Amino acid sequence: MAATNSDAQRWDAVVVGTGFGGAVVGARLAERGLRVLMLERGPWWGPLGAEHPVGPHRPFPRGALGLRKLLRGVHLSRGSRSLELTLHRDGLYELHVFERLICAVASGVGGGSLVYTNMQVQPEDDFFDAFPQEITAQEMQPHYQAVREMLRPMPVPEPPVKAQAFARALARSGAGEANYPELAVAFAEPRSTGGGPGHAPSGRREPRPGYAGTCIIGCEDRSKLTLDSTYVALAERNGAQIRALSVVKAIGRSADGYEVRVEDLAGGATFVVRAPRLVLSAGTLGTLRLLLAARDRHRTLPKLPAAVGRGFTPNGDMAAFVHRASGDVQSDVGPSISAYVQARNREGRHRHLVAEVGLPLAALPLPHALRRRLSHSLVLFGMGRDGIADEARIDGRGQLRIAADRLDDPELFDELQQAMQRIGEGYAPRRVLTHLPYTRSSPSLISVHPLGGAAIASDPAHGAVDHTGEVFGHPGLFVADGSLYPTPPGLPPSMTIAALAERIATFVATSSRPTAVPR
Amino acid sequence: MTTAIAHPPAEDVRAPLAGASFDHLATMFDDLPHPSQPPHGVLRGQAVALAGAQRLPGWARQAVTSVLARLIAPCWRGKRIAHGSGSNLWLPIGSPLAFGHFAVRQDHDGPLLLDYDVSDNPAPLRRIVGELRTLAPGLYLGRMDLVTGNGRRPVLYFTLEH
Repeated sequence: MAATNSDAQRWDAVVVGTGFGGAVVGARLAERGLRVLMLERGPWWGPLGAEHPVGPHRPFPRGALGLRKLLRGVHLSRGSRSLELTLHRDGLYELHVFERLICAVASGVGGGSLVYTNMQVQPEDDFFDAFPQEITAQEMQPHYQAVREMLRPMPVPEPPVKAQAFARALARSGAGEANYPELAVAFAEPRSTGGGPGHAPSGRREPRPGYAGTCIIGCEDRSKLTLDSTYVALAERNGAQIRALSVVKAIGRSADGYEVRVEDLAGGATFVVRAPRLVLSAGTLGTLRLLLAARDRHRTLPKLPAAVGRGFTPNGDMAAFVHRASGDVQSDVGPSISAYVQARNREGRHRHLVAEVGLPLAALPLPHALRRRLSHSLVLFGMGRDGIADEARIDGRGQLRIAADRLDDPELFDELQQAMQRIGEGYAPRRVLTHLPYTRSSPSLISVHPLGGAAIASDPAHGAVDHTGEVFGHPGLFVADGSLYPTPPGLPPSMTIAALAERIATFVATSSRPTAVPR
Repeated sequence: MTTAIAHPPAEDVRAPLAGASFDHLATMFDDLPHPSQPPHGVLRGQAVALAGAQRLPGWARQAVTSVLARLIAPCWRGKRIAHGSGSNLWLPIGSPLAFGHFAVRQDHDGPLLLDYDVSDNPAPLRRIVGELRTLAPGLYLGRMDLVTGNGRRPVLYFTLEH
């Protein structure tokens, strides 16, 4: 146990992170009357943050000057190099550059919801075969329903031009049928009285909420139902305290549970908070860093399971760029993703998907002519059920080390690349650049969905946490974020993270005070 | 938007260290728990109080310590600890030089000692014994004692953090 400081604050639960795991758990615990502290390393963002009465807030990165805040910093752990370069503590994105993998993650109240593509996709039933027997597709239904009630996902009411162009490209390439995913977006009625899309009943032309293509780097028109406006708001209404720009540096045990060392990035203070329940929802890489440091570096929780770090996957992520399609695309109009195509394996199980992603051109300081040209271009983004189960480690300088690369599952990535090439050619473009930002045959990968490493499992030999999200052998210590995944979904993972967090919250709330945190 | 709660001020766990006298730090140090296990890896170091400034009045001690700490900071980067031994890291940020080696000794939950009496060190350094206490998870308060014929005399307090 560390020092008993007069400044230490006591809580029923401390939640680290406000993304799809932390926001949900924090909200549900606060609803049950627990004293909840939610710690978030990033600021409040955008118009919603500006209206928030407490805490540091920043406008979304826009314009030549504002875009400098697009990047928070870079964690580099490649070869003999190991360093953390923080450019702007209040930046939006963070890059983790591993040996042959680059991961991009977001920072701010609302976590990944600030920058994700709004897709709310529920995996098929067989996905839960990899989970402990207590968790089945049927058992998860009420938790998915709870997420639906909060995020109110729906398909785009009227497919935008870029979705129609995607469907045509699929038809030309014979790559399958377009699906229109449910999106956590507050769409306006596209055809209201007064005639025509975007016309309000008065006949006066109104902006069309939900159609801003810039929302992938923060949503100015609030049409995107991000977590800061839903679950985090619910947590606050029920008395939870949210501390923005407060980064957790280390965790350890205390007399009656856990303690957390926090650095206040706004004021510069270092403070300690304690609680019988600690929920780690710092995003896969953030949570793994805290757990591995506690076990192997700080040695504050040296008996954390050996399985912590094992089973990391980049979710089969892959990107391609379709340069100047021949037809009309209107890449910057409509939700970032509004259509995708799914591929199945021989057994009929989900194998991978490819989605069209519009470019957020209106948010970029580009010359008008270039913007017009790029509006005919788009990104194809793929996700697949890769067979990667790498082990994340922490090095002597506190940086994560992950060795995953394309060669861990060349078959899947070859399939994805071929599918994206074929679909891209369906647009009759000038060029299709697959496997961005690398060369076609590069073994390196990029992922915006780092998952696994603190896998949910039946026993500590196979994972780090049990079906309740509690770390094996560490009563009161829970994990609720993408690191729980025991296997990649090959889909956008946010809805399942939120649904698992809904489930985990019930166990956190009813967990008894830990009496014996192992030394 | 909501009934947001204003943040109560968070007190800095390092605040009591700034400009404190050796006597105050000694009391604080004794109250801190021993680390349950030695930390591992590179730890960033910062000098907190130096013997040379202790005879000055409080305000001057604080000012002199602050200046000296700033002068030391670019030179002494911290320590590297691994597998029962360690060394101090000096100067270049990218690849600091290791000088001032020590053995790490701890029995169970007892004191975590940094023993400079190792053959790699020049004779004056071998009379130094350090000890670490836990200030917060991954954050340590350290003390360096010079072993003389009259016992141990503190010469430096410092923090180490991951």
